[in-house]
Amino acid sequence: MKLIVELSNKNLIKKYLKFNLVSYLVIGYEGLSFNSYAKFNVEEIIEIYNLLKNTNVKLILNAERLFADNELKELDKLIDKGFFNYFEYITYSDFGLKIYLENNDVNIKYIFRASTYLTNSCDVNEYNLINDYVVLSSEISSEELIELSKNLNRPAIVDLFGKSACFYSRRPLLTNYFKYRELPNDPKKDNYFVVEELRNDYLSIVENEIGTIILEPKFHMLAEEVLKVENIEFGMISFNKITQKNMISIVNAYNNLLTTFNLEIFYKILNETNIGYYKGAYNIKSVLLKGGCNE
Amino acid sequence: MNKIELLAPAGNLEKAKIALLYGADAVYVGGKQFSLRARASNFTIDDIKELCIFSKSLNKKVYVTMNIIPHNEDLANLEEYLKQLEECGVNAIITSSLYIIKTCEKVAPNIERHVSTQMSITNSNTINHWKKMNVTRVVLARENTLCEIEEIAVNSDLELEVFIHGGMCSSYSGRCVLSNHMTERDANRGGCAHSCRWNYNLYDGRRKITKKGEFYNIGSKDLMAVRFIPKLIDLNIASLKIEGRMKSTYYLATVVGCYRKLIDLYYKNHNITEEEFKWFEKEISKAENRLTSIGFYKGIPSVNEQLYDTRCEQPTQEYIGYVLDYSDGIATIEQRNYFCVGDLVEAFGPNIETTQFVIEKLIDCETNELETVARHPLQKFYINTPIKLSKHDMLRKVK
Repeated sequence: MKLIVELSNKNLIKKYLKFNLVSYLVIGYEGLSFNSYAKFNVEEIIEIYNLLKNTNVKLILNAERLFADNELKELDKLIDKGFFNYFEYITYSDFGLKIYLENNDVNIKYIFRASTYLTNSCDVNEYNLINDYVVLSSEISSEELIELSKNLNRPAIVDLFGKSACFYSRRPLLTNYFKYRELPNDPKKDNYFVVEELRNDYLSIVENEIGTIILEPKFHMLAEEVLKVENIEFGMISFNKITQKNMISIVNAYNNLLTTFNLEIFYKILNETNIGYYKGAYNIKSVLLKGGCNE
Repeated sequence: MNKIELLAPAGNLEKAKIALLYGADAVYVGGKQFSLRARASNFTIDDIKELCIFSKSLNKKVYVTMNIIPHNEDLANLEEYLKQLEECGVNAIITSSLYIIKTCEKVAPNIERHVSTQMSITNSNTINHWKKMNVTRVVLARENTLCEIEEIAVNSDLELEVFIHGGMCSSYSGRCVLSNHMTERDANRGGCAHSCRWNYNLYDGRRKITKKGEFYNIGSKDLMAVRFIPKLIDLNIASLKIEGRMKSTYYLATVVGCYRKLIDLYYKNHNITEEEFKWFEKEISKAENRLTSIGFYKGIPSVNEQLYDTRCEQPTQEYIGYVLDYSDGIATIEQRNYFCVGDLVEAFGPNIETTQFVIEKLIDCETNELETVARHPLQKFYINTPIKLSKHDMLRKVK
């Protein structure tokens, strides 16, 4: 298994290049990436592309948002500028984007990343037929993930580490609230949290030009499972809400794990970061409430 | 041009029949497998079969929701279930699983495949992708504005279904797992705990913004798209969908009946006056008192479309009786809620003008005259009515 790592700062590139398993860096771009930690402009992307030109590491564009027709048409400006040529793959969740780029002869490969839909091997195999890769859901239990991976018709990608959006709305939910309460707060500031009245978890809430997302409370991670899954070619690491120092440590931990398969060292490196991590949905077999519901 | 379809939800057989009798052209129901709304009572295969026979007798349709996003364990018996649905005469399934779509095409080809709103379809390119998968209809995301729906309608070939009434998710449907993370109940497999409607405190860093006694809410008001029906008809949308498989028969009769009349009026007059719009809005509000808004129809929702502070979910007018029979000016009523002689009530139904009258006399089944009859739910009694009623008409108390 090789690594796909989200890039949050171009100064980290040289450090990532030292890890033998880092194969791709994921780039966010304003207007396309609703869930990226950092977004780069075209000039920066060209600079990053040139920095990687003579290496084995390539770029992936994060474009996982949903689009209206008029928003797809706005991509024409990027297509005309050859923007997509800087990337080998694009991660997406809206088939409209794929069809639009294909119809405009954009030469790029496609990674379908829509965590909520890729929850069983039959669907994953169907999506595999129409994509270059799919990212398996991070909303299934570890047991299900391992089982799923054993029944794939093609190699896939798993989500190794990160804070996923557990809620994605088109509504400007901070703007509306601040207006309602007549509060002067800036809704685009990146430091808001919601805490349910009877619970203690802080969930980051972020509003941007695409809508509003809420992130899961802690960083989900795979460790032991990495040694058990099959047919997995890449593991993805995302970095919402994490310091640069810890980013390097986490990549180091996974690079080490996937090279030596030593869990003890993996946890030692990870624990030195002092970040709150958990198994997330990987540790939960969610309640279905289909038959035995008593409400 | 085909007349637009009015599509209603139904949580059980009785509700499905009422929805069809009150003017729905089709109903969507959940089976015991593969369906969201785990708390709806849901249909057995025998129920579905009975419903299909009933709907065909009225030249109407039945769609079965298979809209969970399945895990491996959920897919057992899929082929057998689809074959059973085909044998029942189900017209279409509504699903968000590509595998279920492909399997249905293979083992139950007479059933049409509709793509669920769980797939959050927001543009015509996505619809053209689904066309290649041999589906016949897509249910658009509730996040599309009317302008966007128009653009989609112009640029896509598949039948389009849009929501016009009922509860709204605050997140894109199918993309939300807030319930999973808050309660371990899987939103996409029928366990949604509606965590978006809970009370939250909002923090800027570690500083609490919400004041004592106030909460931060992200829930949405319900959708009511009465004023957009003419435009949706003009756009040649295939189906207008009402949300709410958990709703009561009274709710369905009221809401379905009103939209039926509105659609028919527009086809007849090619115009709805302001006065008529107001009448329909008032009538629909008699079903339930949840706050409503126009959702995304006029653009990205503002403060007015959000649900802050106030919640009230009681019906504005009480459902008091269901008409079992009518003969010679006397209606046989099955009682639902308390009422008494002297109450002003309103009769409504699929084939009558809504009419108010005062209850003058109540007679029970043993022909005893009663002062009040509302002590025993489902009790049968007789009343005189000023208009001719029919089986399935309903009475509500005017407050």
